[in-house]
Amino acid sequence: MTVLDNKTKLNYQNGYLIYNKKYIFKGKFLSKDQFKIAEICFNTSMTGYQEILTDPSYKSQFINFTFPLIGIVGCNNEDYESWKIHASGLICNELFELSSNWRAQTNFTNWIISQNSCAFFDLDTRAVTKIVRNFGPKNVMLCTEEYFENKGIEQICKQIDQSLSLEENDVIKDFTSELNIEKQEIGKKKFSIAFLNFGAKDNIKKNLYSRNCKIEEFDMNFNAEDIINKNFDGFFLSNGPGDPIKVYENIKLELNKLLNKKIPTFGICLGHQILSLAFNASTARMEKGHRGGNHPVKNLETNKVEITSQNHGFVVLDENFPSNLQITHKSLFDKTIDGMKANDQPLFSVQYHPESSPGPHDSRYLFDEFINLMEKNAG
Amino acid sequence: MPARKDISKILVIGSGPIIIGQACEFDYSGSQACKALKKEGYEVVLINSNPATIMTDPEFADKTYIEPIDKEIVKKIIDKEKPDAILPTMGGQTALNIIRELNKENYFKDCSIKILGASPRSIDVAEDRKLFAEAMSEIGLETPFSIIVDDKSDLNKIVNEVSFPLILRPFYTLGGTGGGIVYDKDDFLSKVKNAIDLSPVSKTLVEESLIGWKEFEFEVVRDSLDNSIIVCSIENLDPMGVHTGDSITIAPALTLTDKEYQKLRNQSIAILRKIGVETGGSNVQFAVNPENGRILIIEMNPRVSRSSALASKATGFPIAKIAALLAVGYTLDELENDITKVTPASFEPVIDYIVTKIPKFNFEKFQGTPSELNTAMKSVGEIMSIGRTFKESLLKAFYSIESDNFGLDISHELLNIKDENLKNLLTNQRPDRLLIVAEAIRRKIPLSEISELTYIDMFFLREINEIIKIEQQLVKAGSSLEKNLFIFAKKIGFSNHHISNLTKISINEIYDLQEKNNLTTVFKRVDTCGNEFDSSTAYLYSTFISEINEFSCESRPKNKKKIIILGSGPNRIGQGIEFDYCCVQAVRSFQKLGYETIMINCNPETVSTDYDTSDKLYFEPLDFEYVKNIIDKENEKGVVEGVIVQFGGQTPLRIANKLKEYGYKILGTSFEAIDISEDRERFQKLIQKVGLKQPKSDISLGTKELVTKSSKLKFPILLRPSYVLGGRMMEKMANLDDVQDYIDQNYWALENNVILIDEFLQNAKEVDVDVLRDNQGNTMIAGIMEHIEEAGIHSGDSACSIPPFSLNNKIISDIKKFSISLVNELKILGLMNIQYAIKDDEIFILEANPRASRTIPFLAKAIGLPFIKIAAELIVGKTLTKEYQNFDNNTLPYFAIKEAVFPFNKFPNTDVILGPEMKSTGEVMGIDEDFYLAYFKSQIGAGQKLNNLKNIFISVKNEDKQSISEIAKSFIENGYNLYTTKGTHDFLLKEGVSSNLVNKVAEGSPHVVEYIKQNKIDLVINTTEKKQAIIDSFTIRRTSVDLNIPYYTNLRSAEILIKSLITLKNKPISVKPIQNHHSF
Repeated sequence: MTVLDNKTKLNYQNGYLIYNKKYIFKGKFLSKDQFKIAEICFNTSMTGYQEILTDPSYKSQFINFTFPLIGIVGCNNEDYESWKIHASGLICNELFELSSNWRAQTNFTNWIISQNSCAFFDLDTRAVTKIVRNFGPKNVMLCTEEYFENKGIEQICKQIDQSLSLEENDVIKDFTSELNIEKQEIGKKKFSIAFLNFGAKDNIKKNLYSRNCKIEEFDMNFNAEDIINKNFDGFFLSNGPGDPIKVYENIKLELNKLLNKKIPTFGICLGHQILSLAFNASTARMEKGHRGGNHPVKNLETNKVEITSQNHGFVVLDENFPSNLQITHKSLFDKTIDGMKANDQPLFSVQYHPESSPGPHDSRYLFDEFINLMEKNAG
Repeated sequence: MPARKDISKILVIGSGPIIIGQACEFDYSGSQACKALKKEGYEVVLINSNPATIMTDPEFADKTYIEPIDKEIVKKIIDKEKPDAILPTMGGQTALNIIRELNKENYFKDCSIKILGASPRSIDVAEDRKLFAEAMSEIGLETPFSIIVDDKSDLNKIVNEVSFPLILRPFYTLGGTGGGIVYDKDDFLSKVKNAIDLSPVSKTLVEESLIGWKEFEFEVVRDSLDNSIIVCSIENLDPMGVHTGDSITIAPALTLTDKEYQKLRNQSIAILRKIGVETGGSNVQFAVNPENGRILIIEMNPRVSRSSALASKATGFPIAKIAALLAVGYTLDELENDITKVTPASFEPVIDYIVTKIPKFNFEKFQGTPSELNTAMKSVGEIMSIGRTFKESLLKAFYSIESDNFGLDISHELLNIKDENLKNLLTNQRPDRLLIVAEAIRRKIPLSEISELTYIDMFFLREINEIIKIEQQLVKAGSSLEKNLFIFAKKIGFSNHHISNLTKISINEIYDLQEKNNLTTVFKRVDTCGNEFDSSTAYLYSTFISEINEFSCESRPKNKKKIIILGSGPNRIGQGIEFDYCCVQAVRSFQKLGYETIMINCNPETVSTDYDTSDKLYFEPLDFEYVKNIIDKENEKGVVEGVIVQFGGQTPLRIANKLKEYGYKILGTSFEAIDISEDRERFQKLIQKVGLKQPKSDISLGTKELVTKSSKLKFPILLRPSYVLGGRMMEKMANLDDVQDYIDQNYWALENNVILIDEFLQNAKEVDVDVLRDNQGNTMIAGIMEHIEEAGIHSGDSACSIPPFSLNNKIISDIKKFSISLVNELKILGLMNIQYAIKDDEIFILEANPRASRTIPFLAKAIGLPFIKIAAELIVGKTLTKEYQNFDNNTLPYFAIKEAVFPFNKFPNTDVILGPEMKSTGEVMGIDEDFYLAYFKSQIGAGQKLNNLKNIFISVKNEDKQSISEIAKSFIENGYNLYTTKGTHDFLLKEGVSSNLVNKVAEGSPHVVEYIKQNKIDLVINTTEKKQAIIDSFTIRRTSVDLNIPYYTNLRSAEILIKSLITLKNKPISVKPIQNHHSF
């Protein structure tokens, strides 16, 4: 993809990544738009770009892949984590137009364009990672050379500064408005679960299906009475994009009604943060977030280490951690809270992604624990 | 859990001599383990027969036994040292085998010794094909179908139980004759019958064919709490069928989706759990069908391996060190990631660059074996390269491998090959296959067709295609190369030298172009975390970025006095681990003297490329451009005092002239002196001045005048091209016909070269001398080593003894005198190695190398003095102490004998006779107060099976017959049976020695080769000369190698051997750590 004469085939142009006035990167811009603005984050996974890009938690973010080669294995119909690409775009060192893998169905660049996403490449992404790490996540612009020259750097920086931040941006609302809830009830299943979808990855559902569960999905506008009346065996709170406080404020009343029922409850990522907030813990924005597939987490109950897949920019804080919750998992990177359970009701949650995809399968046992809770509760 | 307190003394088993498949990666892992265990406060006892290793340096263990790694010797050491535990997982197959052998005897049953890392049971399951397949099927994993067939009457039954295609591998047939692919039932019956008939042991392996399958490897580390991490995944560019050691490999795996990757990850961990590798590192190999993703488990190694060394260098994660700490009880979360210092060792490394490994081959040294790759490893070394893209990484790999042709250029011989023949070559697994692929692309053979012929993944082919496109653009641009294309080529990864080659613009102009446009290379860190955390470890690689900002370059030069040490590049025959030993010792010495040490090397197997050996490590090709970039960068802050070229063998010397031309300082011996010793005429003048003699000689420019010039000298003569190492293409010529053959066989290599012609000294003794000199002219003779074999056999292939065992005092003092005048004339600063031949008490000089030699590590271990450390001190201006100046090693109270180890078993159809071209891959040392016992130790250390000898076969050339009668008498007096062929038989009979007469092969059955195959011969002594005699006796020597029967092709060694065997009858072997031998 770096060879000069590919240009016509690929429909990319010279472009710029503008972090701020000081850090501007020249590169190649593959996009239908002249420019795009979104918050930049980096992900260190070496595999699974298709899953990452279709993970709703990345909504309205540019993902800077630290792994330099993206697109080699193309895309297929099986590796989606939702119905489309949610990330605003991706940034990588080198992009591959043609794929090579027995499961590939679409070439990567075609897929990016057909999904209305964008890619920015042929730049020093390692330096970009360092800048994000040093100066924090913020909105950046990707644009064509033509746009850059017409607008000028002053104008562009103003545009960036005036754009809404991730906290201000109500990404979860956007997600919910796009979400097309499917009611799944295939065959006779042992457990029924109310699945609160804030931007869930498909692989969470797959893990529940494969454990003999049927699920019914609800979005953030759910009504507690509806759910309670249906006598579900368990509640599940999914991952999703944005600031947990924002979501929690929206659903606080209804959620507390549900939790009062003390039915087995499991939360992942945003779900974990929301549950923690519901128990009066506090959350905050992290300096650089955890995004990758190699994060070690210690299970404080078994002392075992799990290598986990993570994707979060907010975290539950140690300070004022409520006494009716117990910390069950900690990050071995920075000792932040990675999992908790309630002392007096069957409820637990983790900050990372036991469904992984992409990432290691070390933590799949958490789904079994959820099943156990429901079994115990039923029996 | 913290470190175990129930053990305090640990025996670490090393891997012994460097052989193909087991090289200096085990020195790297073993020395990491020893260091880590010592630091934890354990008493470390080490056994390793290989003196060239860093781990056998006296400071690495509390007790260092440089003794043969043999079951009985290990028992003696255990008896003496009484260790609490043994760590066998650092010493490759050798160490595991010792545990298996001892376990077979139930040795561990009654003793309390703990086996760390892997239990004897798990070693058995992993090593035994059948047990392994069963274990895999118990956890629901598949292994390829494989059976041994030795009964032809079974075939009709078996044929109905197998699915096709299958592969046949008959046992012990030369060059795999009788092997091949079987496509259907009919094929099966006839081909398997044939295979059984052809095999001398009437057995063949029948295996599922995995032609065209992809191969992947996972490096796993597991602790006692069942925590596991994958350190690295590796993808083989070559399909299944090429040994992974011979494959070009890429890290991380590039053509797997996350779904497939995680499947392999889960299976890797499940396999470790099942096999029961309780703690430490293991390697799991998979075959994956590219059509449907089906996975088969090929094998797992319950120990650190060549791949784990590669994975450690590729990621910065020190597998061996961590594995050693896990073995003594730590868990992964308790250990720190050494690189980041902020993350735990339990974190899976991520990398943000592409690593390519290319193996190094020496097929040219083994006539008779076709240059083809298969499941038996043949490579003798490897290089690794790091780039931000695959293209950059691959190009850097080709710049690192030091091959005869440049970049992806095809070799001269194949330049005019027809397209159809080229396609045929593509179907062969040749060592130069990527060069053939590149040529096929140049000739517009479609990539899809190349992929069908080679089974190489389209991704890699497309990438090579892109490189070739730029190559062609550069050729087209020629002298009108524009800035844009230049920048573009640099971004792809082209070196200046390569660009100059393609455009025909002089290299200096290319450097000017680069400087004029202010285009500098940047350096990135290997940090295990994709820059997610700051890394304080200076492990760096270069890449080219056209837009620079403050975060582009991560070299961060310090304001210090620095010394740059150039490493020795890929291991190859003639240049191996010895030079890495020298580099590492030099680094240590300069560090102690207060310099910041900067290492440049590209060999992933070595200790020198460990991130904590030097203060700064640049993993780069040893090509001038890459070295220059580093010096320039380091000079931005602080001062590079100079570059060291004398410890890395011949590799750094290749760029010495460029360094000088660009005004960089070479520390130690001057470029001038290097040039004199490499330049025939200047060197001749020098030795005349010193008063030394040299065998009569001449030179020929190219091949045209070679015959005429040769005919003017007295045969036999030696021919070799100048500027070569390890006696490459050095051959002894008996007459002018030989010279003509030599020209025909080596035409391309000789054509543009200077060829040196020397008269050959028959039956002379050869001596190696290493000398040190300081800048005041003080000198120290580090050692005078006498070869066991006569002159004419390459010094690297000869056994040698320190102190000398048969030289008189006059000769020794003359050698000293000459050596000292020579180093003084050359104004050597540091080390020099000189080789002499002694014929009838006359001394001739054969060669002088103004650098550290192959023998220096052996000398250091034999004597106990750190010669490299001393040499490094001299280089920066210290002077030799009086004690060192007067040092005399001829008074040692013991003998240390170095013996060479050969890879002939890997090269079927190659003759084992030794000559002036070096063939050995490694060496061992035998040390003992008794000369003969020291020799015996060196022989069993080298792998000769000398226990229970009974039947000796002797067949010698005429001139050896007189001397053999004494040897034969000794054998008979000591109860051995002798078997001889006619000539030797009759001669011995005349001398009053009776022996059993056996037929030569040509004389018909029952002949000697049949005797050997039937296990009736335990030892072969065979000396021979003249073409026809050599051809006639070839199968005798070859069969001995194939069946692992000890053989001696040289009378002097046979003579010493019989005396050793006699000595052994009255004096049992004892063991002693070198720390107790040494008196310094």
